[in-house]
Amino acid sequence: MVIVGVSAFFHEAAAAVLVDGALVAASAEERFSRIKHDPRLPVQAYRFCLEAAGVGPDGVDAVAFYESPAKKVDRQRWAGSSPPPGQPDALDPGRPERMIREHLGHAGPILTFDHHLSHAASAYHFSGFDDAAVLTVDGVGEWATTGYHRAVGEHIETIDEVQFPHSLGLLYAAVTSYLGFRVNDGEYKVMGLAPYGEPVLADRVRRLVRSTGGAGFELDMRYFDFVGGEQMYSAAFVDLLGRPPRRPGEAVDGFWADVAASTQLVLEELLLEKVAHLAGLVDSPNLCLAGGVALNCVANGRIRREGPFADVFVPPPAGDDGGSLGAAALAHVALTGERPERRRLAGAAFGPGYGSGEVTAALRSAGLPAEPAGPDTVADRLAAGQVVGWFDGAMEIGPRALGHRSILADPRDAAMRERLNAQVKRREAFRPFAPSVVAGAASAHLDLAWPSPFMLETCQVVSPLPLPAVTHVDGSCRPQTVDPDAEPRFAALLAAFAARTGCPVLLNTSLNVAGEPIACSPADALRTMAVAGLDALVLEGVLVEAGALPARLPELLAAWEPAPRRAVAEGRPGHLYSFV
Amino acid sequence: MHEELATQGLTVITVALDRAADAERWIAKAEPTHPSLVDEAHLVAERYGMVNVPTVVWIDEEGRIARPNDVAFTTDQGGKFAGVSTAEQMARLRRWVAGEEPAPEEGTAASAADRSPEAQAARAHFGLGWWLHERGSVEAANRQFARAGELAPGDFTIRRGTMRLRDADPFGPDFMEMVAGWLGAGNSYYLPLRD
Repeated sequence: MVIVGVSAFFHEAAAAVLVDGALVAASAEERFSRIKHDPRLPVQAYRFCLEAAGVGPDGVDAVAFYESPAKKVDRQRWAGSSPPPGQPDALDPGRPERMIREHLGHAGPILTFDHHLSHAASAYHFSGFDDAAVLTVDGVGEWATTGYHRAVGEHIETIDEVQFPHSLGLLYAAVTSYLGFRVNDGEYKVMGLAPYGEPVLADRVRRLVRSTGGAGFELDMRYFDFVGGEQMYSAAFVDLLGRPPRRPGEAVDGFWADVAASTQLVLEELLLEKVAHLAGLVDSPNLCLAGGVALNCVANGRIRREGPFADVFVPPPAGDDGGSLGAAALAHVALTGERPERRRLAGAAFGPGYGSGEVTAALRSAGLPAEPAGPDTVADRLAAGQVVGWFDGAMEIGPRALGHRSILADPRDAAMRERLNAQVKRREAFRPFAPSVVAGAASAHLDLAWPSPFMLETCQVVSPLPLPAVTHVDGSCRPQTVDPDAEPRFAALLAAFAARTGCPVLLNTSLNVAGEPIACSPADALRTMAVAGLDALVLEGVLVEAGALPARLPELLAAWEPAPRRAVAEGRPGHLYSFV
Repeated sequence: MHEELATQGLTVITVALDRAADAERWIAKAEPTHPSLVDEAHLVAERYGMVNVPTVVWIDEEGRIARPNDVAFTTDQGGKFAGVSTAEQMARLRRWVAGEEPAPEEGTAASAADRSPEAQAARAHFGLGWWLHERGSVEAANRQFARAGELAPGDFTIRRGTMRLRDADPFGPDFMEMVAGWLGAGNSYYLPLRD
C-alpha cells in the first residue's frame, strides 16, 4: 500500500510516502524549488516520493491531505480573509482536491485529516511509543491552535482543543513581527535573542495572554490585529510594550531582548502548565509534541526537565512539513486498520540523496581532483580551524541539519561564531550555533541525561572544555547527540576530531546562507560553498577545495545541471521571463 | 511581427517545449529580438492547453486569453501543411493589436488547461518522467512518457515532445510513423480554430 501525505498552501509544503506502513521518503518542496518556506502544492516533493516508492501516479493508493479545507475556509472567512490578488480560488474549499487531481494526476481516494490530528500523528506514529499523551501547538490549523490528544495503539483521540484566535503560535508571531522579524521565519530569532534579555516585561506579556485554567488560555484581542486586520498586533500592543515596533535592520538593543525574554518566559510557563494538565488527562509516561511551537527547543528542554513525563518525543519536522507524515500515517490506519511501522525515528534523512559515483563522475568531468576524503582528512582540517561543508547521503526532513547537509567547525574557537554569522551564514550576530556530540560522550559535556538526536531541546553546557562557539550567552546549547549506529559516518568524523583534539563536539549548522533553504543537490552545496566562503566541501566523501572552486564553478554546476533553469535568450534588456 | 508591432504594445514571446540544451543553438542562431523561452517542464503547454506545435496564443494586457491557442506557421509553406493561411493570421493579429478585434469576454481566465482526468493523468506521468529523466533514471522515465502518451494520444507536446529525451528523432521515421498511425485512425494532426 502506497500512501502519499501532502501538506500545502500555508508554509513549508511537503510530501511524505509510506509504503506498507514504513516511511520511505519525505521532503519539503522548498528543498527542490529553492524558495524558502515554499507553500505551493509540493509537485516536486511528490514526484520525489513516487520515485522513492518506485511507482507512477497511478500506483498511489491514496493521497492524505494534512488539514480539512472546508473547516479552514470557514475560519478564514470568519476572520475576514479575502483571496490574495491573482488567486481568486484561494478560499475555495475544493481547491486542494482540484489541485491534487490536476497537478499530481491522482485519480484515487484523497483522505483529509484535521490539521492538529496530522501534527499529533506526525509525532506519535513515529515515536515508537505504545501509548502517549500528545500536545500539538501552533499558530492555527483550521480552528484549533492547541490540541490535547490521547494515543493508544493505532488510535489518536483528540480530548480538548483551544480555538482561534487564541493561539500561542500567533502570540509568538505577533512578537516576532513587533521585533522586526518576518512571521513564520523569524521566530527562531526571538528565541535566540531571549537569553540576551531579562524577562522584566513578563507582566505586560501576561496581559496579552492569560491561562483560563485547564486546557484553556485566551489572548486579549484588544492587543492583536490579525483578525480582519492588516498586521499581527494593534496600537494598544505597542502602547503596552512601550516602544514603536522595531524596524527591520534597526539595532537590537536591550529593550528588544527583554521583550523576547519576557515572551519566551510566558510561553514556557503556559506550556508547562498545559503539559501538566495533559498529564492529568492521559495515563501514560510518554509525551509527544508537535506543531510549529514544538520547534521552540528552549521550551521543549524545560518540558523535558521540569514536566511530569518520563519520555518526550518531538519529530524533526515538527512544523507543517511534518503534517504530510502525520496525514500519511492516519490514512494508513484508516485504510488498513493497523498502525504504521512502530519504530522511533532514529534519524531524519528521508530526503533526496545523490550517489557517490554520481558526485565523483561529475567532479572528474569538471576536471577537479576527486580524491576520497575520509574522516581523518576532514578532522585534520576542522582541527586546523577550517570551516567545512559536509554533504552526506539523503538530506534531512525538517529545519535542522543533522550531519547530512551541514557546515561544521571547531566549537572551541571563540572567533568561529562571529566568523560564521558574519561571513558564512550572513545573519544576525546574536544567533547561536549548535553542537553535535558523540552520544556516548554527551554527558561529560552537556547537562543532558537522554539522547537528543534532532536538536529539538536545549540544555546547559557543563563541559570541562571551553566551547564558546556553541554555548549561548546563558550557558545553554541546542545539542544533537549522534548515535554511531544511526549515523555511522558523522559519528566517525566526530570520533576522528576527538582523537586529534580531545573534543568530541563539533559546531554544526545547516548548509545554507540566510534566506535560502538548506542545500539539497551537490550543485546547491557548491553554490553555498562559493557564496558562504567555506574552506572546503566534502561531497559524499570527496573533498572539494575552496581554492579549486571559483574559476570552475560554472563548469561544475553545469555538470550537475545539464539543463540549466534559465531563459536561454533575452529579447529586450530588463525583460527576462522564465517558466523553467 | 515583434519588431513591426512593438511600438503598438505587442511583445512576441516564443516558447520552445524542449530541453534547453537542444533548443539553445537554434535560438542563438535566430538572434531573436523578442524574449525566447525554453519550457522544459511544459508549464506553458499545460496552462494554455497546447497539444501540438507550432501554435500561437494571444494574451492581452490583463493576462486574459484573447484568442486560444491555434496552429500557426510563420510561412505559407508551413501553413499549407495545416490548412491555414499565414497572411490571414498576420492580418488578424494586426487588427487585434490595433484594437479592431473584440476584446475577450469578462472573466476569461488565463488558463485553458484540459482538465479531463486523462489529460491530468497524462501530465502527471509526463512530469514524473521529466523528473526521473533529470535524475538519470532514463528507463523509468521512458515508461512514464509512454504511459503519458497512451493517456493523451492526441497530445503531441508529450508524444513528440519527449522524442529527444527518448533518443528518438522528432523529425525522423519515428515521428512519421506516429503521425501516420494517428492519421490512419481517422484523426487530424492539426486542428485549426474555426471561426
